[in-house]
Amino acid sequence: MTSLALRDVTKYFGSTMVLNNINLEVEDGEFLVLVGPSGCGKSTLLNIIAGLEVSTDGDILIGDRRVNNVHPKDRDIAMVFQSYALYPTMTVRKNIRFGLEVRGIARDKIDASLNNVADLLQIRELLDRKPSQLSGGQRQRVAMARALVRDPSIFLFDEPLSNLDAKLRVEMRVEIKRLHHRLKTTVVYVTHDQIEAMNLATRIAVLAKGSVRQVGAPQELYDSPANMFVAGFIGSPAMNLIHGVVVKHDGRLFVQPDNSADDSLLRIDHCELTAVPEDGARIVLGIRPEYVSLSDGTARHFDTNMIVEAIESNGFDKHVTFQFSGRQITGRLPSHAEPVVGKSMQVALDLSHISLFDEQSEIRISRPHRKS
Amino acid sequence: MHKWLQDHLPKIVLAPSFAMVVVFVYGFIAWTAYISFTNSKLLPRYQFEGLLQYRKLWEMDRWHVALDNLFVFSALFILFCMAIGLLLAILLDQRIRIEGALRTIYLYPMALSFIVTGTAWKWILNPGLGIEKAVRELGFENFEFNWLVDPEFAIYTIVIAGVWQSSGFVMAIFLAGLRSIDDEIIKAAYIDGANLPRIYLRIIIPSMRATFLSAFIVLAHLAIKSFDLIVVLTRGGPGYATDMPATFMYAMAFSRGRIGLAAASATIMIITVMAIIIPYLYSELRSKRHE
Amino acid sequence: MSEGRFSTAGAAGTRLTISRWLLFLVLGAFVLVYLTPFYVMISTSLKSLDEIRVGSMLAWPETLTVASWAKAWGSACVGIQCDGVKPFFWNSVQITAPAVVISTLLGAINGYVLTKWRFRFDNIVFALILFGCFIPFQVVLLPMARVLGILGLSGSVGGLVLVHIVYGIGFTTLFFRNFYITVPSELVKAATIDGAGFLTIFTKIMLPLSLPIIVVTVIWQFTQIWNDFLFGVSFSAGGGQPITVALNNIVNSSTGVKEYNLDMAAAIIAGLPTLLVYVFAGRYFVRGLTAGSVKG
Repeated sequence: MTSLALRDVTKYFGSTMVLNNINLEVEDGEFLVLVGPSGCGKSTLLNIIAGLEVSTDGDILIGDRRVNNVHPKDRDIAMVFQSYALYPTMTVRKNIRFGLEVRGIARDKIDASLNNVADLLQIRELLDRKPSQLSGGQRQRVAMARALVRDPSIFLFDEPLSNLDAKLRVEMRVEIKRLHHRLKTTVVYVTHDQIEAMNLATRIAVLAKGSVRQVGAPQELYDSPANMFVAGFIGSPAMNLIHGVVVKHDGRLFVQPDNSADDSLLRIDHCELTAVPEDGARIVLGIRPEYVSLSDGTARHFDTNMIVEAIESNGFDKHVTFQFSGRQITGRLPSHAEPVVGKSMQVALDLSHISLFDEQSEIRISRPHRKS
Repeated sequence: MHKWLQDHLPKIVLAPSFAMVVVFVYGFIAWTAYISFTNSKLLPRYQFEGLLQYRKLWEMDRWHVALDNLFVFSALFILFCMAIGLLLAILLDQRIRIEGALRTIYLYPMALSFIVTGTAWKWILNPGLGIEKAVRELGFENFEFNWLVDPEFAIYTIVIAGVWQSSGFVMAIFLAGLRSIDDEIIKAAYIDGANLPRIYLRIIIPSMRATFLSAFIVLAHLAIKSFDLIVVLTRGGPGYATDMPATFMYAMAFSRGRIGLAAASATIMIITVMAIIIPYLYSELRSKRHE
Repeated sequence: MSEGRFSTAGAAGTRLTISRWLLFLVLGAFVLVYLTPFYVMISTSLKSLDEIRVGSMLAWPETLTVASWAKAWGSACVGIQCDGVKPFFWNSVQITAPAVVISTLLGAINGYVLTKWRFRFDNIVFALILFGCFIPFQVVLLPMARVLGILGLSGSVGGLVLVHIVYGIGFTTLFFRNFYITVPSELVKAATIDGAGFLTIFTKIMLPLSLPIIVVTVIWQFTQIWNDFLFGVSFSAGGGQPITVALNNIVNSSTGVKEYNLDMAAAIIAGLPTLLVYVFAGRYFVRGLTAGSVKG
């Protein structure tokens, strides 16, 4: 069953188009993350799903029911906000009960749901406190309890972890994931943090400037980004994008990077291309930092010497920035490697895991990788 | 139907207040302005007569006296209030333990009606029994202080009472403005070698432009509206030596039965106020948009 | 102990100590300036007329007498009525109380609508309401007098209540609007999803957290309305006048002997309510004063 469907949803604020023909379908039990840079329209889209804003065009369907004109309280949704939005003058208990009381639900039923939720989120001891007496993490849990107690068919999260410190954010992420696994309710989750998206989602929708750039499982977006935007957005450190020209040599296809010191050629004929580019066409080769590393002599590597510009060690491995093709690329070296800033060293590019993009349209032209 | 009600409830709720303002503020202003163009005396007449009343107004010596007094009073009132307010604010900014008590003392006059404080000052400035007598008792036997009944100097007594009442308020505004300046800028100046007076002159006071403007607007507004203080201190007298547009208007409207003239004077008053407030609000809104 | 606003290491030494003394000297002088009139009021009200005529205004009474106070309260003549200021004090109470309550309530709901239920032109509506604060009231005296006459409210307490409500809305709306703008809209969104409607959100969520601004507004309105003179003298007559008008009548009465002690006693009675409010809740008053002006 489709839990939520967005068909051709468009939104204008005045004459500015904020959402451009959004089409998304969310299956029952999915955890869909809407991710994108600020201003991409993800919060607006969430508000439209909730009914807090009206779309200029298009349809919103919740469980096969068209809800465009349905009041938020009748859409069977619950929402958790970035600032938690707990009613400051009410105790935690009252905060959680409020929505149910407004609906006129019987007292004993409310109490039962309340106890249920309090146990689930471990906030029993907090029930008689006021929001100002709670820490950030506790407030977030109360906000989730308030949403959970309504037992909705869709949960909406609007950047709920952005106000927490790094450590707490990681803890809450685990908590949210655990809850989703247990309750199996449909979730639409908005964040600007692509790491959070990768961690939590069953599917990710990347938005930029009001349009969906790609929808898919996290690994799919990571391995086979559909365009240069998604390539640069998902994954940290970002995918290296090497600009160059296509060279046909001995019947094989190569990429010659711009500003190469020698006439280095990167072999790309092992890639399936949706359209074969002309000789001399502009092209962008994407390669993730983990595939820029020490040489190990196997085939499909391109070995070269590069000058080290910067080194960042994180204990597990080293992120090293090299000069290449007039720009910089990042590689991940094992922690035992000893790069020296300013000195040249031998680096291998593993070309078995690259993505090719047309430079002008920025669209992917190499077929997505299949898991072998 | 029910949905329409729910959707428009906010506007419906706002409507009574808005309607009241439209009628009792803008409607009334329009009415008064219109009457100022008629020949109304005791009762309103609605025949349009052009600038008749305004010509009469400008021919009256009493009106000119009122305008003169307004300028003199406003200039002195604003000047002294700002000076004293700034001085007190700077002094209080020096981290004194009894700052709270001092602030309370400097500000309490604002809590009182001008009639109450005017009564006190009327007594203090009483020629014969007030300051004049007290200073004479201290030994200065030839001290004279009868400004209150002197046509030339009476206006200054109003300045004294007005400044006493309002300078605490100005101090409060300036103190808030002083305290809103980022401490780090001042620390940087200290490290650069500037001493306290220089820091105040070169850094702090220039940063308070907006506060000065606010205080100026509030004081100008108070000055133009001056009515209570004059009525209780001098009743506009001796004669009409301390008359101001507000008391002039009241006299014309309610004692002299010349409401056309009163309307004209009132219209002049609001034009003056608007001439100050509107550019101020406009510039505030524009600067907010740039932020 | 920190010297002045900035604690400095290796400052000018003795220079600073002298400045500190000078500082307190100036501040102390101003304390005298501000308190002397109040002192004079009290001391004069406790003197007999003979003592007033003979002695210096700054001297403390040799024989304390509260006769003036009793007379001011119960038997002084205001116009033709000789019941003291008591009835007029009561008038002021009857005018001030409902006007404060109603104008505050209206300001609250107006501020709520203007910040949480945006609609087209709402900025213009707010500007129009706000502008009402700035007009010199001379420009509405004439038409208001006529309208009150038509409504049968001229010279009455009810008329003044209406006047103060109408001309208080500008300020009260400003106060609440500036306060509610700092309340996150997500609260309203959460309540909407929870199913609460326009009025429920106002009563169950906004009002409970409005206590600080309610106090500021009530104190501000109380002070403005109690201390008003212009509307009082323009729209009331005879027995319906507020105490400020009565006080002015006493002080400026052209008949009889000038009783300065009576004047002072009456003035203190008139000023006591707002003064007491200020003494006990002064910081809210200041908040009100600076709320509108510093931010503009």
